[in-house]
Amino acid sequence: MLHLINGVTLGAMYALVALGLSLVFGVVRLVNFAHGELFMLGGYALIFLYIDHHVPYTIAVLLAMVGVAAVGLLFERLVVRPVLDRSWRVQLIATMAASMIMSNAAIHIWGSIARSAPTELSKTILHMGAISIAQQRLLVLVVALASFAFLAVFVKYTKVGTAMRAMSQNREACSVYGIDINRVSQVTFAIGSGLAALAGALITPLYNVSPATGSFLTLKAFAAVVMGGLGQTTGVIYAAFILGIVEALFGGYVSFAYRDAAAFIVMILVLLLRPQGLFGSRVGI
Amino acid sequence: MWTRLRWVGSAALLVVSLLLPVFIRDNYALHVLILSAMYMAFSLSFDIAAGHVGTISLAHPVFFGLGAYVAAILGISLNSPFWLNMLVSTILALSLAVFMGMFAFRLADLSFAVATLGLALTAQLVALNWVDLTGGPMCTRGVPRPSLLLGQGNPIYLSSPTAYFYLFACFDILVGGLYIYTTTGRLGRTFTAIRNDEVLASTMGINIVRYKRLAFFIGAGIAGATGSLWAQYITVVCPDYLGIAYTNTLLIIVFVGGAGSFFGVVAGAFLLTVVPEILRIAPQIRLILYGMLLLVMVVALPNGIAGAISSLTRGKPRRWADPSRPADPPAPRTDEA
Repeated sequence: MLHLINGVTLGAMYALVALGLSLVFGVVRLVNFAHGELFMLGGYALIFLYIDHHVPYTIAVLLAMVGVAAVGLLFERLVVRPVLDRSWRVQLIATMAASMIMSNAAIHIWGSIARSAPTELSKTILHMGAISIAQQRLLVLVVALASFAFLAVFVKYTKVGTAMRAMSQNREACSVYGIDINRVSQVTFAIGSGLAALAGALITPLYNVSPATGSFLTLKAFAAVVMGGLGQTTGVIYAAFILGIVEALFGGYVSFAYRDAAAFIVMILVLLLRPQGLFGSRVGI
Repeated sequence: MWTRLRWVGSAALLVVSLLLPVFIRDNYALHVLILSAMYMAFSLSFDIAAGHVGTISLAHPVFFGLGAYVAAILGISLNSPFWLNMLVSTILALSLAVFMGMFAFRLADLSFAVATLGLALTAQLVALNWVDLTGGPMCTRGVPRPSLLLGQGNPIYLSSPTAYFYLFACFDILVGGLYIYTTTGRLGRTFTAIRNDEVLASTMGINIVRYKRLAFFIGAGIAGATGSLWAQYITVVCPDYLGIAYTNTLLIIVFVGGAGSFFGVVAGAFLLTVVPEILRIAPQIRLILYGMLLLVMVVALPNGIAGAISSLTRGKPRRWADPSRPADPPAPRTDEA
């Protein structure tokens, strides 16, 4: 039961990160190997604001999101836009280079030792019968679900959201209809980075963040996206939760050390056996 | 004319670099040269698949790390001779590559890269956690140094940097020969055809997966041997040998130097190991700068330094990374570059 709850928390975190990755892939058609680094930046931004400068937690989370969204915009302008029309190899190497820059900058600034940011909520334990949960876990879940709802409404009912959906279907047709492609991809990157930072700021009170977190998390998010089916938003969310729960149960009952490997093996198997994803019907990358 | 000049020039360069230990007496400088010799072999082995066939395996350091661990474990437990360790390392790296190749090539381009990244991180986890075998995060230490048994006498240990330098130089010449052999001629043209257009290549009757596998196997074997040799020089093997940091270094060397170009990769390995030592840049700053360099290069000059030079001397651009870019008509490639 304890592992299940941990798994749901992990799943919510993966879902927030994977959603951004999936959104960027769907709209901009780019696989971002630096997405996990944005999560890491979110975690460090929280530590910087909340622990080092005593900004109230809520404001610190919001500021972290805004700050990382700004990094996302910069990333879009400097890394993504120059390679948008190039082959997948150039895109792969450009985003890998960006991930290298960000993670090593993090090592340079904050050192390579993992840090944590305990909050009031992560220290307060909620007792429900035999189960005790840190309240922070509930917060993660609630905020994650709220963000999914917000995103669904945003994508469905706003003008930019409609443009995003249109762009995921056909970029050329969008520019024919006068949609500013660069602006839509900027918005997409801002949202994706904001979500990753939100996940980072929510999870850092429970787990550690270190400069190496990024590449592992990028791959976990890939795993969720691959399992959910590319561009299938709901599928990705389900897959992220499944992944989190599987990982927590595996870590709890089989082997804690190899819990990360479980996710990667599942991802490779899904890639091989069901490239369209567990829930999808479209063909993969 | 350029071709002949190139060969004369490279022969001269080879002779000069072989004579380097005569002039360089400083052990640290020799160490840097040996490091760059290791990266030459390692990057060439990566470039066979990445630069010539166009399949980017992010798990390439796994073979290097496997070779290093095999050499370390064999050397420590059996005290076996270094060439035997190298042989076993190569064979095991090849077997792992064959196993991976059985299924990995069902995946196209990006899925392949993502899946190999997963394999690399998994392998690193295994190396970190299988403490009995690998020593885990404490690393495997005290790998015996190579020795040569000449006749019936006592073994001669290759412990001086100069001896290692020549050992690596011989190895590099072998690897370079293998690289040139596989990437020129009929085989090389087949690789190029696959890289430039898979669909077109398969309509020409080329079995794409077979050649992709072949390039992957050759690269893996060389990487295993390189890892084995390196472990017996540096005497310490750590889990990060299999990890993403080495993948990044390979990407930097190959794509800054020039993917698919022998001279580009060799120059990349040399420049990117020697220059930062001369400038004495701190490791993290170095990696940040490398990331920026890689980003700028891959955006502005996708064929690296070698591509830039060759388009200057020949006046026509060589395309590696961007067959999809409609800018110019496909220039017929010559293979010797």
